[in-house]
Amino acid sequence: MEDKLINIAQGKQRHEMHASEAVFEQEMDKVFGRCWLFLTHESLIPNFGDYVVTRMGTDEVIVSRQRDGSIKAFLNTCRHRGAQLCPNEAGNARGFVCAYHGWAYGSNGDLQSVPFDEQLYDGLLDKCKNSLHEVAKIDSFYGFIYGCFDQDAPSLPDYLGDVKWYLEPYMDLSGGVELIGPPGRCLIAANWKTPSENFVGDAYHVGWTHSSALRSGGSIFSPLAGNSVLPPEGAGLQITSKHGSGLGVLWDAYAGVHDGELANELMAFGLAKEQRLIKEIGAERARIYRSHLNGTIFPNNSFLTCSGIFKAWQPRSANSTEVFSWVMVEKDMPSDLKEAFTKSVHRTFGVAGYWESDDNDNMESETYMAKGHQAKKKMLNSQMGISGDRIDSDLPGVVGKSAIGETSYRGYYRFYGDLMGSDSWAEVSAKGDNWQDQLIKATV
Amino acid sequence: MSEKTVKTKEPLVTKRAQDLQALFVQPASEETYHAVEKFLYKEARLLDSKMFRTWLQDVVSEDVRYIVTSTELRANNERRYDLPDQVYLFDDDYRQLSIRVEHDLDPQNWRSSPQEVYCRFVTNIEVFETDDPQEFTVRSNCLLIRSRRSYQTDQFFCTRVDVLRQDAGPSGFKLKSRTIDYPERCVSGHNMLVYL
Repeated sequence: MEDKLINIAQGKQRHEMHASEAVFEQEMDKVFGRCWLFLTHESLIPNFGDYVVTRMGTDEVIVSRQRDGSIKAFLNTCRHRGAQLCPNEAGNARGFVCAYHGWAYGSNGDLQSVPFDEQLYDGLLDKCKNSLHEVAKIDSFYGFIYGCFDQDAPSLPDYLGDVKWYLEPYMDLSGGVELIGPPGRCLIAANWKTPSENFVGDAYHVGWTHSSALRSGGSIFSPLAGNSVLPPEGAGLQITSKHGSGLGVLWDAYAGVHDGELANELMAFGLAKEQRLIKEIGAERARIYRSHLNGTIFPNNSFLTCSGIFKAWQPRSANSTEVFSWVMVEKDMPSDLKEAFTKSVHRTFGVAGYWESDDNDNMESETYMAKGHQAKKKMLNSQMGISGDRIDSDLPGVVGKSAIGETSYRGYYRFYGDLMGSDSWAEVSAKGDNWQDQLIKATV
Repeated sequence: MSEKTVKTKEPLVTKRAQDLQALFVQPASEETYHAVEKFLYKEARLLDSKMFRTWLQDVVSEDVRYIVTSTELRANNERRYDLPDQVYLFDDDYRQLSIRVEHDLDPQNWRSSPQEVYCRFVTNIEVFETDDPQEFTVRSNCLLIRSRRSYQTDQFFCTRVDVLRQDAGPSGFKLKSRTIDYPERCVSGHNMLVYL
């Protein structure tokens, strides 16, 4: 058995990572305790007092809009005996009152009142020392709000690194996007990394896993059904970045997974905006706006731009993941188109999504098989395109040789391996100094 | 308590439940009730037997609207946060349901082989008249148990509010609309690739 969980030099990972509770416990500390994690979008908490309750790893957090417009996040546990403070998913409140004894906190996390504190605590309860446990760092990009438990983590822009350049045309230069909630929610019997790695860089599975969805649904990707053709050379790109985030690009595929008249309307909307953007930002980046991007912001936040799918794969245990599914849509899309689009996103990739179910089956079986005593010791293969990874002067990141490859898998697990093998962000950063070389030199 | 006070304090979900009661006023005749009961059992049999194309042809109306929502959990006294609280897990017309059926029956739908097995329990059937003498509002509960591969058993449960229209075809009625607000917020059954 190879010693390491992750073999960067050969693009391999030990199967155990998908089912081991011991690995999972370490991940909560070394991955979810350190990385920037998706919380919510500005559009879902627009006003002072608006809040959502979401997850960071296995912790629940309240994310709350402050009076000055800034955003704070707190563990959703009362400082007294640790009961859940807020059982709601979203709302607007000036504060939060614990159901157990009535301790009351402001939306800024301050402990404001404790029933009968003067009579019962003899002046020994210092409210200032009992504010809610606050998440160390909060920042946002293009309206997407992320939080991080580790004060020593790099800034959010540095953390995102090279993927930003690819996301900017769709998420920002387009006039911006919003998330439409509430999210669909379901539990799958899969390790959280199985969907994260699939979204980060698996264009390979589309024609086979989704054979039936492609054939029945009639999207622009339908010719791939049953692997009847390989997308032509130059159909897209695949890239990865220092901190594991990565994505694939399929050129000009704006209508994504949608079908019927909706797909035609989307194509027309995307084309018209691309024409306008060419004048504002140049042809190259305008084309990225209208191209379909699949990706994962490391560790567990995935998306399909244009198709409009936005996911958080929230870890519950090594073998259980809660899927949160939102719709990501351009703000300036006409409201009737936005509504049809929203429903189509859930129809394809929601809880009852007929594309989603094709994928979840693979993720659950990867996880289930990783419990096998012999199987878990074996190494998994993400070597497609391994000798073709390169630096490209026109394109940020490490760039794969084709749209169908596993460059982004390798980048994702390179960083994962660094996190799991380090005791601090300083150590993680040092290991990643030559991250590009590590990936480019990898070979079978 | 004045009516006004009740209204302003009413949580949105309670109001929705109360609005639904307006549909459940005038019980249909015994004869209609039994015809509807037979229709619902036939539908359950077709779906349990994976006869999805027959279900579409004999049971589902071509102008159908099939809706399953999931409602975000909010405080009973929530009044200021006014973003939508429902997500449409299904909002399908006949064409969209047909796509789902063909997806499921496609020989390259890997998850359908070996086949899943279903068992539906339809209960609490109530049938009410509507303004249209050809149409009836039907409220029923459905428990669907799905068995999959060797070890997986999933449970789906809901209240369905249907509109059925009398029909000369083999089933006596057709399903014009089905509306379900799914009770379990985080769906525990892996996915909802089932017809409830």
